[in-house]
Amino acid sequence: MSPVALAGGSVAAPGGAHRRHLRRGARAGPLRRTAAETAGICLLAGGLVSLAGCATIPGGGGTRDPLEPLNRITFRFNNTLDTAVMTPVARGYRDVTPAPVRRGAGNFFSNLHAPVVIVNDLLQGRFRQGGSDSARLAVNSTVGLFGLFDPASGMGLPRHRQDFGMTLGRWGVGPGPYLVLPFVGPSDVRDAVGVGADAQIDPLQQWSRQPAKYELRAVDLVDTRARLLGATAALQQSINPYVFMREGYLQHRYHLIHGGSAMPGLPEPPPPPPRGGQSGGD
Amino acid sequence: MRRLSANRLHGRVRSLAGALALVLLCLGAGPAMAAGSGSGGAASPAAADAQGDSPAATIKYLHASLIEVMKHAKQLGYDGRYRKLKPVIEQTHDLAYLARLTLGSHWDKLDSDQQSRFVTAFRQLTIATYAARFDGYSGEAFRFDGSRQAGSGQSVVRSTLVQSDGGNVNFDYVLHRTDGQWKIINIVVNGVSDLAMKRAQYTDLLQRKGFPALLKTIHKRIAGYGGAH
Repeated sequence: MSPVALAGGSVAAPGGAHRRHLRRGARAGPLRRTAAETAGICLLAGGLVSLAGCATIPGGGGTRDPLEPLNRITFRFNNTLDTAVMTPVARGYRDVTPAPVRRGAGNFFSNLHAPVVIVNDLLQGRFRQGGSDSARLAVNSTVGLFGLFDPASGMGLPRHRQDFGMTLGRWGVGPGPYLVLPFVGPSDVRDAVGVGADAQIDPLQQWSRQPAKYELRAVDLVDTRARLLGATAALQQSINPYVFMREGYLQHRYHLIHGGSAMPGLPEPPPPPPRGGQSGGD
Repeated sequence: MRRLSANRLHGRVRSLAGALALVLLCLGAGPAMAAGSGSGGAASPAAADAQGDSPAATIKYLHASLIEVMKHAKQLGYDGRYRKLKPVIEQTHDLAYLARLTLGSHWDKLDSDQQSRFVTAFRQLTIATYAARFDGYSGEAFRFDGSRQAGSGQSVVRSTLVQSDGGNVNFDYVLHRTDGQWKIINIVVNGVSDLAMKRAQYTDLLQRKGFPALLKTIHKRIAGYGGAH
C-alpha cells in the first residue's frame, strides 16, 4: 500500500496545522504580543462567527469554495514550489536519516507543541484530557529525554490532536469559505484564524532570541514533509487533485471536530432509479 | 508500501496534513487496508456468518483477498495483482451502481453509450487503483468491529486497520444487496466518505471540461497505474 494519499502534493503537506506557524516567521516576537495583534485576533474570530453562520457543510464546492479561482492559483503555486523544493529536500532527508532518528525528531516536535494541545483541551472544557496531555508532556520531557522518546504513549497517555480551529469548531463556529494558503496548503477561514491563535502560544513559535529557532523549524518542516512523501503520489493520481484536497480537508476537519461523518446518512444520497443500458463489462 | 513504510506512517497524525493524508490514502479506492481478516474474527459477533451471505462475509472476503495479494505483491507484480483482484473487486463492489452515484445528477444527462463507457472506465480505474496500492505488506491487520442495519436496505460494517506500530484507521463499509449478494457502495475512512470524494472530483471535472475530457483523464490514470486487463 502506498498509504497516504493525499496532502503531500503541496507544500500544504508540510504544513500541519501546527506547522503553519512557519509563515508567521520572523515576525513572531517573544511571548509578548502587541495589544493591536491581540485585538486583531479577537476581531477576526468574532467576524468568523458571523461568517460561519452562512456556511453550509455538506454540498458541492460552490457554496464552500467561493474563492475557488484564487484558491486554484495558490494551489498551483504551492504544488510547483513543493515539487521544486520541498519534495527533493524531504527525499534527501529521508534517504540519509535512519528511521529511529526521524521518529525521534517527530516525537521531539510533537512534544514541543504539546502546550498548544493542552490549552485547547482546556478551552474545550476537556479537563481530563488536558490532565492526561499535561502528564504526557511531563513524562516525555523528562523520562523521554526532552521529548525525543515517547514513553507516555505506552503508559496510557496517548497523543491527542488539538488546535484552535477545532476549539472554534466545537464552540459552534462553522468553517467559512475554503482557503488555500500560500506555502501552507488547505485551510478554511476558521482554521486560518486558529493557526494564528495557536502560534501565540506555540513554544517553537515564541521561542525567540534562540539562534536555534529557525533551524528547529526547518527541521520540523522537512521532517513532516518527509513523512508525507507517500501522499504525494495519491494526490497526483487522483483524477482531480484540487477537488481531492479540498473535499478531503473539509471532510476530515468536520470529522475531527464533530466526530462521525460529514455525511450523516452514511449510505449517501438516495439512489437514482436504475436505468438500463449500462453494461459495464471490461 | 513502497513509499511509506509502516513506521513512517505510524499514527503520527499529529499534523493536520498528516492526518488528512493518512485518511485519504486509505481512500481513493485503494485503501491501505491490510486486511487481516482473521484478526479479531473469533471474538466478533459476526464470526458465525463469515461463511455465509452477509455484509460481514463480503468484507471478510475482500480483506482476506487483499491480504493474500499484499503478501505476494512482489511476485505477482502489477499485472498479476490486477488479474487476481479483478474478480474480487467485481464481486464485492457494486461498481455499476457506484459509477452512477459518482456522477450524481449528471448521470441522466449522458446517453446510454456514454454511460456504458463511463462504467467500464470507472470499473477499470477502481481495480487498477487497488492493484497499484496493494503492492506490499508490512504487518497490518484488519479488525472486524461489527455490522448493523442502516435503513433503506443498507448495512454498515465497521472495521479497523491496525498498523504494525499500533496506529488505527477506522473503515466503515456501506453495503446493499443486489443480485443476491451484499456489495459495497461506499467506504468511509476516519469519517471521510470515498463516494463523496469521488463524486466531488468527477462532477467538477465533468462540469468544467466535459465528458470526453473526464473519460480521457480516467484512461490516463489507468495507464499511469499500469493499464487494465
